[in-house]
Amino acid sequence: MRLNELKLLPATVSFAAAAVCIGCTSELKVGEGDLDMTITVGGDSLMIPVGSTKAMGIGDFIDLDTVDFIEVDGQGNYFLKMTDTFEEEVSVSDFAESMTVEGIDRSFDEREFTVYPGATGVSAEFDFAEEFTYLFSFQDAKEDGLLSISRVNLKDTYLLPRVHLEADKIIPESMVLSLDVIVPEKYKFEDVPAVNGTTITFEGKVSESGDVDFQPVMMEAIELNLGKEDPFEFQDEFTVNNLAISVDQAEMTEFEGAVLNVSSGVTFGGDDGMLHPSSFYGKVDIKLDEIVEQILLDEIPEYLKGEEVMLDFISPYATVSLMTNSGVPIIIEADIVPVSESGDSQTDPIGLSLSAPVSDDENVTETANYWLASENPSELPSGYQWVEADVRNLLSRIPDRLDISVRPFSDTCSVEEHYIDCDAVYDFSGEMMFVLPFEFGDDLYVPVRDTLANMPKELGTALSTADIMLNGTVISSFPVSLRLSGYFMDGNYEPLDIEIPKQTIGAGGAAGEPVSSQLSINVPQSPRAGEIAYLVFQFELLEGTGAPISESSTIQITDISAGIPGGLTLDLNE
Amino acid sequence: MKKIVLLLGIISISALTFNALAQSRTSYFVRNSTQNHEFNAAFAPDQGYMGFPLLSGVDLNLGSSLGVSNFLFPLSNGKTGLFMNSEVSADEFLSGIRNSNALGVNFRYKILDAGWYTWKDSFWTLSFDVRADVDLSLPGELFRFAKLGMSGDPTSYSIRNLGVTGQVYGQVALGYSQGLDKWVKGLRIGGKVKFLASMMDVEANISRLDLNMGSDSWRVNSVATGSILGGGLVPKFDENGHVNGVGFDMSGLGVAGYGAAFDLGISYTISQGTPVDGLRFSLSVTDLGFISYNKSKARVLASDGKEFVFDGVDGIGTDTDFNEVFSQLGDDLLTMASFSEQPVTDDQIRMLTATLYAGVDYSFLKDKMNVGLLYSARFGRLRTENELTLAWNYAPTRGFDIALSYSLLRTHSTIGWLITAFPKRGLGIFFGSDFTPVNYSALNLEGLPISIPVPKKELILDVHFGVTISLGGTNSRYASAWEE
Repeated sequence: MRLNELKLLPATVSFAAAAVCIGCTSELKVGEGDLDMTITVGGDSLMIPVGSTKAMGIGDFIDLDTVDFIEVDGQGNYFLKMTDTFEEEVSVSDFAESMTVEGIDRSFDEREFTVYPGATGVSAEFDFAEEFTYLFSFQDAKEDGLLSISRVNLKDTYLLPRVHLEADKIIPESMVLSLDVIVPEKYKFEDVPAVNGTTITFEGKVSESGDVDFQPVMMEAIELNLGKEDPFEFQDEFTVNNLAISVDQAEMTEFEGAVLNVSSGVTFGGDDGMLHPSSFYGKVDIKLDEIVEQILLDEIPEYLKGEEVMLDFISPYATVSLMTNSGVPIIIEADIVPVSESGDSQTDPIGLSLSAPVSDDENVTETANYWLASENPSELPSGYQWVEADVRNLLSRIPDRLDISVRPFSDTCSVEEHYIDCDAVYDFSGEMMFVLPFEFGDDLYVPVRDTLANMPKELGTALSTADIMLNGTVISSFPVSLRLSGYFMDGNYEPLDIEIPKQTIGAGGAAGEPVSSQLSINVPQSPRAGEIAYLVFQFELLEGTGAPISESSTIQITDISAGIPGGLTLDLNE
Repeated sequence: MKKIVLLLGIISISALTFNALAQSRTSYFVRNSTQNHEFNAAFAPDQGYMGFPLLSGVDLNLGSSLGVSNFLFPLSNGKTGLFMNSEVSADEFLSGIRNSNALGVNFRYKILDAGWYTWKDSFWTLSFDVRADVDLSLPGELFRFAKLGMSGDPTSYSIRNLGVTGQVYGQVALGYSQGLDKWVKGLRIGGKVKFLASMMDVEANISRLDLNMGSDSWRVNSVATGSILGGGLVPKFDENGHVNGVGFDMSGLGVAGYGAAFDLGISYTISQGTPVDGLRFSLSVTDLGFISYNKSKARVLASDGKEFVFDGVDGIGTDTDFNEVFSQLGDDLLTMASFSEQPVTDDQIRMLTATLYAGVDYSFLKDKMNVGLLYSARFGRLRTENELTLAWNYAPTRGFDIALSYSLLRTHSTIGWLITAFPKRGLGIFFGSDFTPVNYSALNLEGLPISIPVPKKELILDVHFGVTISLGGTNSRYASAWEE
């Protein structure tokens, strides 16, 4: 037993020695709340290459497919275009109606004549002279706006005497009757042999029944030359005389001594007895209905219409085209008023007075083009006439709509007379177009805000413990300066006190060449960064160079890096 | 719970083995050990034995040259923080990190184990083992990168030999040891032949990973290879053909490869009546062999060999989803060191991890006590590990041994111990550990009433345990020493 104890002694000593050597020299708490799982990665100079943006053009900021107003010209330059058209009929039917007046239909007293023998051999002249008056009146037309008239062209209007003979002998078969109608000088007839100045000689064969077959003479016009102050009513005097008959010698012998009973009259007008004007020269006062139009600009993005927006368009202009087939000179007076739903516009409206063209032919539409601009352009397009209008000021802000009022009326002060075709259909139309090339001046100011969701959690984590420095190179051929800024919001859209400091990006070159500048933004650390849910990103358009914004105008940020000095601290306790 | 999982992860990562050998190295010089023939096939215990069913032997080795204290630090607020906490200075953390670190977990379970004498001094062994090894090499530069990150613009790192290997296989080993006293007194030789059947062999090795991080770009040059041999693990690929994950397919499990290996050993004990009688020299090599995998069950991976440049995401616009950007950024970073699959035209052969042992020990007090010095070199796929072990063994009675060892590694040292009870008849038992840290930190885990001691400097778990049934028999040592 003693031996065994001795043998075990070294073993016991060995284990005791080992036990003495082994012991806890420190204590680490890893229980509930004892372990801090916060880690910091990335190092003191953490710089994460973020990459680069795409070369962003205007189409990346404005959804061009949804905005009909923004277009691109042949050179790729953007412009804003708003158009409006109007059309109205120029009705002259009132004149045609009021100038259709009653014609002449006179019958004279019966007269008896004796064909005395041997008087003329084969003919006999009678002492026949009838005078009558005719009251002519366009007073109704004057009330319709006829200011003056110099000539009325008539249609289907003729002068025709009528004679019926009763004789106590058989009317010779060769008997011919003639007479003269003397008319005032203003009446114009067709150019036929029967017309000699103001005397129209009618000759007709006398039928067995005694009727005389005269051929009517067409009356073409009446030259009135009535001025604005003249009464449009007058009385004309007509004379019928020189009644004579002629008979062949062979029959005259037998017919001598016959007693003739003559009944006669004169008809002057159309088949319906009325004088129908086909057209006339003169001046009319036509009042067309006022045209009221609106150009709604509700498709234009709101940020282009904000109250703080100042659109300093360099060379905006408007074109107005007036088209008509009317022979009446028409003037339009137009008012263009920008209207903002939010309140009264601070912009003065534009008032215009433009003359429409005159067409000599109903079938030909004439056009007059006007170029409305603050200044006479150096290169005015062919066919356009510059009219000074402060379009630049008018659209220094984009209104909600443009109210356009057009009041067309005839130009009664024109030197030339109006020509009105009483049967024509006259149209008067116009097209108004506002063109705002995207060329901006120094006073440009357009703040654009966008709210970006889906903020990465890592961003909030990083900003909770350190500033984030965004660096990069901005390459811009945008001919306007930009100022970037922004702030973060929590999930309830409440702003957090974390702002992205303003950073200005210079404009591109005047000729559209890209210009580089450095981007350096320091987003400050905030203990509330973990609440970040949205980023309200704002870029303000500033100080245009006047160069056009085109499809090739882009802005790109390259070599973007996100610096997190001190590293990215992550809280793994969560 | 999440913290606990993470903590266990840290402990696992810090479990950096410095010896992947699963057998108890402390038993090398225990002359009556039933285990030391695993090191040297020439060794033989004093008598035959048979492993107790299901308890023949369990070796679990989890070791680390880094401990919890390398990754957990007390903070000024009284809490415990991770090494990546900003309060932990880089110098403080990196001072405990070596240039080369490795993670290893080795498990060996003996289903069957027996050894017997057939005639005098002829000893046979037969065993059937299941083995699982995981080995991870973590260069110190990797930790420098993790802790320091970018310290300037640019900042460069050159990471070498970042890799992981893993094998699961079974082996049937038949050994024979023969004393050759009739020719050379004290000479003994032995050998083993092993037949291997493997379920899986996984390897990923980034031999070179050069990082250059600047504000404009991060550049990576890497040389990497990998392979997944056998079923079970299935790589997943992204749209570019890069591995972006690994899945598990139960239906693919099975024997995927076969192989063979040999152990060779020799020992010589001086017994010429000189003052140095009892001095023994031993030399052996183990696991000299290979496993061949059919090409149909092999997937070979390699890096593209091209420079990977990460310069962010191009084409960021107003419609960009920044969560997508971050996701892509993460994917790109992962792609930096990613693998793509290579065509496999031949069967794949993987060598076993051979180990060389060279020892010298001297017994005295009539062979009841001996001291020895063991050098071992393990030729792993990721690295070669050298170790020097000084052992002291005392057998106060026959059939009972106590052993202590002190191992000196390239990087640090540790203490081992072993108790072996191997009576002439009846049940025997052995248990011990090669690595017994002396400094612990007490982890006060949530929900536990007591603190758990965790090695402070090196996290080590090394357990060897087994129960044997003595079968009798004899050898010269038994006859000469203990019969007196």
